[in-house]
Amino acid sequence: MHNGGPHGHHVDLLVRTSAEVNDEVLGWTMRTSPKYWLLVFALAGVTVLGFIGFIIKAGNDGLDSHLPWGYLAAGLAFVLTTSLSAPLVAIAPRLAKAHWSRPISRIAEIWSVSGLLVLLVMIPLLVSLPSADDRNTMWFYNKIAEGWPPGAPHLYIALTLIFLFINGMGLLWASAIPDFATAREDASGWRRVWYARLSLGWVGTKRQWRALRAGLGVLGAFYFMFLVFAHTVVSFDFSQSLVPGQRDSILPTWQALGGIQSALALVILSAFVIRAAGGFKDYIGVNQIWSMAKLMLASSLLWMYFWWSGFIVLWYGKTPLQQNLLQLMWFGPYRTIFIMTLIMSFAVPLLILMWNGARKSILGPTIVAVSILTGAFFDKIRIYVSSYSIEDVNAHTLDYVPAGVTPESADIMMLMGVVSGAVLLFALAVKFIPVISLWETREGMLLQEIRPLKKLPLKVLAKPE
Amino acid sequence: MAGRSIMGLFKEVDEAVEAADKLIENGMDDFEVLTGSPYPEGAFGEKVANHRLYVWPLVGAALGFSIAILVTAGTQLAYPVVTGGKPILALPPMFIIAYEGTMLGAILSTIIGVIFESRLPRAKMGLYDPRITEGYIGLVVVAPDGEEERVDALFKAANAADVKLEPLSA
Repeated sequence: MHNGGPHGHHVDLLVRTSAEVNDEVLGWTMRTSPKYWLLVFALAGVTVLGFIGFIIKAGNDGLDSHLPWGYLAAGLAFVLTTSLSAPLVAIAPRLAKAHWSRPISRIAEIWSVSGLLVLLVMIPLLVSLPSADDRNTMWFYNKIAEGWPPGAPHLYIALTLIFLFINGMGLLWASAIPDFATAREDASGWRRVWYARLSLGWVGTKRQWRALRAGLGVLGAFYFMFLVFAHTVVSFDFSQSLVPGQRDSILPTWQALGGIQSALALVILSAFVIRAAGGFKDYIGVNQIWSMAKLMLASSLLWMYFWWSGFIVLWYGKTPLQQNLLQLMWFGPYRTIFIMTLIMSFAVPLLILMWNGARKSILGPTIVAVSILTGAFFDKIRIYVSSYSIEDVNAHTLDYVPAGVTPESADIMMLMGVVSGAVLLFALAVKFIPVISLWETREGMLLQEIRPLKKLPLKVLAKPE
Repeated sequence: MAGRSIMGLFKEVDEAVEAADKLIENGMDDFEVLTGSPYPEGAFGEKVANHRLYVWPLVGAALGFSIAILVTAGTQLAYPVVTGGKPILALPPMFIIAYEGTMLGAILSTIIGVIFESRLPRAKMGLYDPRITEGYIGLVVVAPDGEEERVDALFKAANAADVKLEPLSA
């Protein structure tokens, strides 16, 4: 139900029965159209193309050196900063007990399935990553030479990404248990079997709801903590520690913040697509997009501030090392990409979202989301490809600026394959896991109503805790 | 207390609350509420369900931390290399691995904790009705021997859409 009012006053409230919510959401989840399969086959085709690109690259260059693999590292970082960061958009509002995020929380959580792709991409990158022996890493200079910490950095990168994936899947599964229980009543065939298995015999006792709430809170908080750690490990080990002399304490923080910005952009874009494709206009309204757009504007401003804080140290320092770093990362061979990143990740969000009308709409934030995701893509290429272009990673300082690495056709295939693979996993998951959280939507209907204040309709929210 | 479980299924919340009130009046305050969405604690006058989920991540974190310290300290002590007179145990590098170990333990134990504290998996569904996912509310109570008919009548008086009795075990 939409109620207009003076000065753009806007109130959204879903008016449905529980049975109607179940029918509409599960109906879409269990129904596949020829267009859907066309999309899946197209995505699968591009993903296979990426795998072929990897085979070609590995055949030509091998896995002995890190030098050829900068674009694949950029692909991994892009999926980490977008898909694997997306669950934060469900976690943070849930912890803050915000009602607006109910219809989009599952979309955000489902993106964690792309962690599977990250684990696959991680393998060749770990194999080609040089030893941490005798170079500056977060695992401590020269301690490695003494055989300590054992397995660093490879073992700890692998453990970080594996457990981030497990955490994400645990969060997704726990949040979907009540919906699997609903689906097992409606489904038939293999779906019924799997929904029954995954719901573990859930019946919705008070004890179960309490444990679920608490579990989602704890797992969500852990996911947040672990994701920040993953951003730190990946940006250190796949970028900063490969550049001799680079000591930037802001880079991992900036990357984690970029993850929040990109996560919001990805969820806005996917909510826009699901809203249109699934006919969920009554579920996902201006309120959801607007709420995320406000956070996206704030994170875009912070993104610029964090970048500036890291940049200004090098700019004023102007030592030979710092001048080389400025050339390598920003003003040298990757200058065009850097300018595009600034425009897409900061200027476009600021210039569009500063206007109330654009911010409080469906289309405005979606356009900005596309811009931010494109900016993030270029940013990862700039950071990781430039870092991977350094040959002597054991040198004490960066005394030269290597030439820019233009992508070969195999690199382009791999990058397309990684992005396509992440979207493919999401597309497959939304046809099994209810894309809109049924129980959170039903609870939202229970705790919200519209009441008039004289002539003005207002949404009244109940917050029982 | 010996007895059989009986479930009243209600379409409206008010009906379920009325039935719950009658159960309490008749001394049967230990009833279970089955719902398709989480109602606030105490909405039906039921006893608040306790859980110990918060213990799970704490125990898991402690275990993970201990293993991480064991691995890091153990390795350094097993292969002692004195560098410039510094202590063999270097604490700052151990923090990162201790953090990772702590988080790994906490995450795994929380997932297990959610399953255990929800008393899942359930091999048998017990008294249940698919309409609960459509907004109906189930009240399940163990009726003392010989009281089944009275509870049945009590539920029906509150306008129960359906009343189900636990089958007699063979």
